[in-house]
Amino acid sequence: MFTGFLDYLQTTGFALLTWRMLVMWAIAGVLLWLAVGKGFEPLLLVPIAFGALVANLPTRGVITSQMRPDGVYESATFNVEMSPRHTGDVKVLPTTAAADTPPEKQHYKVEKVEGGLYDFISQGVKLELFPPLIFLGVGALTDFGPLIAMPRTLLLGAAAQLGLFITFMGANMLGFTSKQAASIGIIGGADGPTAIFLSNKLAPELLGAIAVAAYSYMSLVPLIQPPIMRLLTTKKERVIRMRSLRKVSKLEKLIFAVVVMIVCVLLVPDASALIVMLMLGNFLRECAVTERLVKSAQNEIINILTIFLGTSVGLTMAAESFLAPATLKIIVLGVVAFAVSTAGGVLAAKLMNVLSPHNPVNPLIGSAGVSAVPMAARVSQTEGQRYDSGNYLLMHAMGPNVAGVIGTAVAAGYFISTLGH
Amino acid sequence: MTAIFLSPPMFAELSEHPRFAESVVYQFNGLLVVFVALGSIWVLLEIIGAFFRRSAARQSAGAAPSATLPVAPVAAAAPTVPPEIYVAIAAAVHCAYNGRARVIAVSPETSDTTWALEGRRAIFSSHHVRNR
Repeated sequence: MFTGFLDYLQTTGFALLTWRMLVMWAIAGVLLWLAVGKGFEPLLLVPIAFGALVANLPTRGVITSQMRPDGVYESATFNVEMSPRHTGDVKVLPTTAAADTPPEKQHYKVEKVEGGLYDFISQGVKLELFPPLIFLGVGALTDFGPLIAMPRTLLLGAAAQLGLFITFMGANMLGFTSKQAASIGIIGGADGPTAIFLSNKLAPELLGAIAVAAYSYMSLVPLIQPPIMRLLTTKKERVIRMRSLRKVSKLEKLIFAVVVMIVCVLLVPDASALIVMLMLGNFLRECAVTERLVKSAQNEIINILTIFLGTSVGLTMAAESFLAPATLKIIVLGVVAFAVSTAGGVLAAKLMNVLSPHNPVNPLIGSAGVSAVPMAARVSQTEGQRYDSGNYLLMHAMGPNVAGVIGTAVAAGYFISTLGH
Repeated sequence: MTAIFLSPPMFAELSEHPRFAESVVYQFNGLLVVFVALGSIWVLLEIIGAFFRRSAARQSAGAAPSATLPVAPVAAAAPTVPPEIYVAIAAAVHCAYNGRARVIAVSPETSDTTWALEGRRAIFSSHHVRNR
């Protein structure tokens, strides 16, 4: 009887548990605590942490994971069974078809597709569908008015990409390949969907660690940025009051969406998917005649995709791939990327003041060039008010903040075009 | 100069483990691409913005004479405050300061920034930004 019970236990999930899985449970628990208990980016950390927990349970019918012969851990694969399709009286066999028939003439019938729930849902990440679709929602939620009213803040968004490239070099020196280094560097852009988009394309084996680092640091923006902002600015600079922003017309906003899309696609075609969807979402918002579509993009589409994206990313965090020295390096490099990007934005604002002293910018808005929208802009506002309670920097900081989104997408396009082919 | 930036491996292929110098040039070119992209958008936005600002100025200049001419004699008179407003202000001051203050003068606010400022203050103070 006891032997029978032991035999039964062998068929349960207990037999498949490993100590690594238990460690991952603890990590998932910490992430859940940060999200639920501390309120750090809960909209993404909750699905990611939950996905991480599920990835380290001996589930059936959720996701298929396996180690490839080259040592790379692969998840979300499904099996397709096909049979040759009869075309008239002639049965086209696979073997002869491969040899004699041109590929476009081969016909197969899909008999069976085997895979768990997330083997299919995760294709949204693998096929790079989710990040651009989330950008549709981001575009529909974003008001580019402050950027259009003060377009020179685009340079702050560009300067805040410094961390990406500096970290690229650091990652290279730590032994990561160029593709992996680029994927790690993009954490400095503080743009989750772009980080996922790029790392899925260049280094899918690091996707889980990169996504967790990116979203964790985004949630820690109010903690990471202020010391750097204070270190690089004087009290006199922090109390600079900026001129009021002019009112931007609807037509100007519509032209902006089209112009940005055309310029970015022409310069970095590899960033097209992100930029096109971002600007489509924004055009829908600003044209004011597609209210139903805007509402869907702002709510249902982005919310559903956030759940799927978060859990899909979490499910890549299987112990075999996540508990590796590389993960620790990524966590360290991520914070370096973030800090350097913040410094880049602040220093660029100071440089702008040297070049244009008659219309100065408050250097505190430079840090908002990292694209954690709108958290980074709110940090600029809070820091500004700490030294001058009547100084409202929020709208000014939104300029570099949304410029950072475009800048990170362009940087991702550069990495893909130079490394991804 | 341009030839240096555009020559391989900067915009072409980069090896898996590039040398330090290669890596530096690669980074520099990456930043250059980002600055060129966003700088181009900046220039275009300045041009478009200048056009819109000029047309807005032209519109307001065209509208100004017809709006101000008939109003001019009325504008010469000081803006009047209805007596019930005096009563309301005096009552509010009495309640707020418990009768220890006296209203000396009441003048209408000509600048419209105060309400905007108060609105912003209310919005910002309604959002709690964590400072850890």
